[in-house]
Amino acid sequence: MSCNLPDVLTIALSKGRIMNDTLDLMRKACVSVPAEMEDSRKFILDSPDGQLRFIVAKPTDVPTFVEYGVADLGIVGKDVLLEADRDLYELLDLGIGRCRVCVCGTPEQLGKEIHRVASKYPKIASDYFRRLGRQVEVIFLNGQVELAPLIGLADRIVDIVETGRTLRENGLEIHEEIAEITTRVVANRMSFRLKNQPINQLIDQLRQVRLVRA
Amino acid sequence: MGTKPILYEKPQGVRDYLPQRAQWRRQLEQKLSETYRLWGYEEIITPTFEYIETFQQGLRGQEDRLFKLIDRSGKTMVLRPEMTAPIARVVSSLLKDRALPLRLFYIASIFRQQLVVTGRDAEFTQAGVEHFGDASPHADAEMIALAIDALCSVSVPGVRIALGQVAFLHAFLAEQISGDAERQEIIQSLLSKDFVMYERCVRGYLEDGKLTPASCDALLWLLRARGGVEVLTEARRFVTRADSLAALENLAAIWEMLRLHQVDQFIQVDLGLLPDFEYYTGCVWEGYAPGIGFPVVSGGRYDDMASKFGRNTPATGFMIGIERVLEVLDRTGELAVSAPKLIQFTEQDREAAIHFSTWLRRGKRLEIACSVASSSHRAAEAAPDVVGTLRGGQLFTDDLVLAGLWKSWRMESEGDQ
Repeated sequence: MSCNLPDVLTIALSKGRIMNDTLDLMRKACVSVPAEMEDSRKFILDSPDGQLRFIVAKPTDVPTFVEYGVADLGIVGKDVLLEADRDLYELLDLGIGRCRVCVCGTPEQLGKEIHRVASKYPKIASDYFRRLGRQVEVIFLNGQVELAPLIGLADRIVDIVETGRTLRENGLEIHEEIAEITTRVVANRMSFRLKNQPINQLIDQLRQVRLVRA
Repeated sequence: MGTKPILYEKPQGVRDYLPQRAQWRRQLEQKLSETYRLWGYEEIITPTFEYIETFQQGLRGQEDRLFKLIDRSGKTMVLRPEMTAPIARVVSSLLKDRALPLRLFYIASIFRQQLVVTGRDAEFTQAGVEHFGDASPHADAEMIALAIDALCSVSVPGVRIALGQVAFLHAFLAEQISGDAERQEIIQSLLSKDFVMYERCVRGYLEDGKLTPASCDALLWLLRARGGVEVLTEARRFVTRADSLAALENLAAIWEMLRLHQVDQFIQVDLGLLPDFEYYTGCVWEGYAPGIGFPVVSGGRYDDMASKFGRNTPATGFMIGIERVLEVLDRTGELAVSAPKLIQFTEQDREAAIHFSTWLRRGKRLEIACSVASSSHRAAEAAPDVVGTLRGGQLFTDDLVLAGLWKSWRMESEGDQ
């Protein structure tokens, strides 16, 4: 039943935003990636050399898979890691998927008191405001968070900003920056001990090709 | 808005053990106790709840994970979130006149509130040992060797122990980093196992002139300081302070004794290892097994704990997570279980059935349990574990052992008459 085999390294990949960049980087690092990775609808794929197994997962599930050890490694955004707060080793910054987690609102709201914030990241949002000693009510939304201030649900949002285009088109702007986000390689505590060698080798390969900010 | 619990609902994070699992768990606890006793450890039982002050040394910034109760005078009590503090309390009070070293073990439920829906247990069982009164590496090696012996005795395969030293870690960091804030930041990143933040901090300090290039190299080396005993030799290149060197000597001595215990092949040195518990003062270690993502055992030295309760004595110990070991054994299929067997009888055979089963029990002649049930009970007829039927003074069974026992009993009882 168990997907995680002792002599295979199982890697959980986040589908969506960072998937293609992750695969490009892996190929550049000469990691054996299945050719059909991009087109396939399979959730579990094995590398041609049989050394690696890839699980394609929703980003927010990646930290869970890795914490429980059903995947040895995970490739996931720091935003997801901050929100999930799981007990994992964070081994490497791949430098891809760069964006920022920001407090955003309409230009008129800038500098005014915040009562209610809508976010896909309730933990990041409440941690941030608590740290600053500001009492703010945080509402969890699943997507299209930009809607919240427009329909009067909240007076700010906390969300990731990549190019800022969605914000601009909805009449919003960045008010405060909370954290810079990049894609990370995380490892399970047991795997980090028992599969020490293949993990170190993969990390060294990726370290050679990761994007370092100029 | 609170919803009323459904009649048969349990709180999050607690579980029922149905007969099969309950039997596995008890077997496991028994085998571990046996091993602990073989090594000269005595069992101790402490209360399930105590005053909150007992646990002040406990969980780092995790007070919100305690289950709290208020007694009639308004004092706060908590369900025990760990066993080390209660045992240190007993050793410093009720056992304060007992000669050292003192070797104790326990099997106890531990309670911690889980903050998010992580699927973690709020009540779990630890089988641990505490060794008071011996500050030498001998006691630490004994802990690790005993833990490995205990895990092997319950057939946990492929155990690997990561071994670190918090005294070394703190001395090493103090030697490399002069600023308190910077050192705290580094400690924080090691605690949260965030090597990305660690590396970023180190490179940042170097740029800001807060580190020498040599210290920067040493700090980056620490993240890779994992492996065999050779890591300890390597480490000597980076330290000069007496306390750093003494801590390394301590680890080398422990390693040497682990070699004498013939368990060094299970050990991996990891000088960056920093567990969550604040009370550790010396060597620290965690054990892993394939198939489960969490440590199955963790331990270390905590020389200051007992003195908080008024007895100045060094201590070292560890705990094995029963539920985690069960999970490993679930996967390896190591657990055997014997369901009770049933003998059916017809109404006229009641007397023979009761006498025969009493005879079986008294002589402990069957390893399996044995009970009688009238075949007029439909439930008994449906039971899959019926091994025999008594009808007209005859036992019908496919079980050769049972058939033989029946014959012996008949001969014995006829001989009596």
